[in-house]
Amino acid sequence: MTILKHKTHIVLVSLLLVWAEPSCAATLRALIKDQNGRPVEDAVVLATLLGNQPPLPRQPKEEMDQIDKEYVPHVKVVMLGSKVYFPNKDNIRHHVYSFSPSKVFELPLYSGTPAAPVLFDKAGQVTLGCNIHDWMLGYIYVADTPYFAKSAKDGKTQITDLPPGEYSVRIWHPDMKGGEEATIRKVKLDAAEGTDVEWQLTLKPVFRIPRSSGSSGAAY
Amino acid sequence: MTNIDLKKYVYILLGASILLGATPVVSAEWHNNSDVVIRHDDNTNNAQMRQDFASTTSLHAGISATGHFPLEDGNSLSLTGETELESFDRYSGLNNLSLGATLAFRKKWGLGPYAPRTGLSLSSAHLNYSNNIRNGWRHQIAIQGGERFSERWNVRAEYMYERRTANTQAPDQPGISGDVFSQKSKTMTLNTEYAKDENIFLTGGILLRRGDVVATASETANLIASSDAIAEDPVFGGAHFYAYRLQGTTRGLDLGVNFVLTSSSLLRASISRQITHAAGDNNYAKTMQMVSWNYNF
Repeated sequence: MTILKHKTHIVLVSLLLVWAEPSCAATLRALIKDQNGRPVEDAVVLATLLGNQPPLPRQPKEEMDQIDKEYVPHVKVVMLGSKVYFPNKDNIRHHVYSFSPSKVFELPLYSGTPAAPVLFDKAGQVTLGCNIHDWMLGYIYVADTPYFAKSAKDGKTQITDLPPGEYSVRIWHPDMKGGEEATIRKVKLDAAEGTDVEWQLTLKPVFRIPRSSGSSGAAY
Repeated sequence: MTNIDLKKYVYILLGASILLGATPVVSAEWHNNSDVVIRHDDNTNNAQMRQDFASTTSLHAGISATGHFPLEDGNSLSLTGETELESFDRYSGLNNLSLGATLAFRKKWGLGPYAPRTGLSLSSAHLNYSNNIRNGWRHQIAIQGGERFSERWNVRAEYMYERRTANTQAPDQPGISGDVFSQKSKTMTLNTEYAKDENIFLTGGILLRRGDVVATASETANLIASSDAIAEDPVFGGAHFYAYRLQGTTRGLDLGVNFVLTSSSLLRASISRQITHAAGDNNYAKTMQMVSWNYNF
């Protein structure tokens, strides 16, 4: 009986702590622009708490869809240790693969959803292709921190519910010149108000293998 | 089309269907394609002498449906059925309708867009002209190889053997065949494609063709002496115009620019120059300009 009472107290205190956390949580608001001042979509903002790192929470199952012969979303961020399913929502078969050092894998020709998800257990960029449809290109970024977000079309994003403290914040984008290390900034986040930070990335000219190949109008 | 032709078609398509049906295929990917082409040819009849040149502008419309069947290990089979209609501004005898089918096997040697590709294709088409002596079958067997070297550069090569069998043989000249439009040839092509950006491709191709060529021109002793077959050719109007089948080697160069209009349509403009050295020094050259619109659905 005593043990039960004790457990009830722990649960109640925990609930109160969880309830109370937002009031002392910080927010990081980011705006990412390119070298011409235009907003950058699909930039990944990663915030790492300096000092004691919180343990990564248990990962939910993630999905990277294939719709109309494209990866949807084009860029997906998952946490280290995540298991990702690759449902094929087209009525044709796809052959997913990655050569990236962070995760080399292959899902040979399949329809529907493969029974087993793919485990992403190494941080960094994973570039996805399809061996049937060469233009299909997608990215999974495996984050080594629980605090991340991806920019929208207006180049803006925010990470909420951050414990106040000093963070190392970096940016990754599939088309950026240079490494993420060049974007690292130390940012101190207070609980009182959100913090605005702006980055300017230098992007390489985007060129994807075209969906409509010129081979249909080949010379000979 | 005669009953025999139709039977042959049914056999080809039936054979291809059985082959495809026997493969471990879950689902096919279907591509339908249509194109409209306007082409100007300054020497349609392949004449040597300038005064014999017959320049034409033709309108071509084609439609095709391809069932693409990906197999394991980067292999794939495809079956295409296609029909084409061609209409000429001045020489209506060249107007033609063709109906054909192609069975192709492709192999990709590895994963990813830069893996080399090879292929083997068999195709057969019936050609039905307004001018009957050109009617017949065209059979082709080809091997292909290609590789994409970067996002921008793509190179393909092909070796093709072609055989045309004419349905109707014109009356023979004394001592020489009248079967001008039954021909055999071997063609090698090398094509390269450079994507300037995602919407503009530049293409260049070279061609080397050896085998039978047909030239229609006014009668000369040299042409008669060098020809393997001769027949009267009423298409080009001249009273003394004959079609001559000769052995020849053709070299060609084609340059084009393709504009991607939408994800499913392409506009192409190209210019092509071909020079043929035929038996008996009966050489000829031609230049073709072409504008085409291609739509996938």
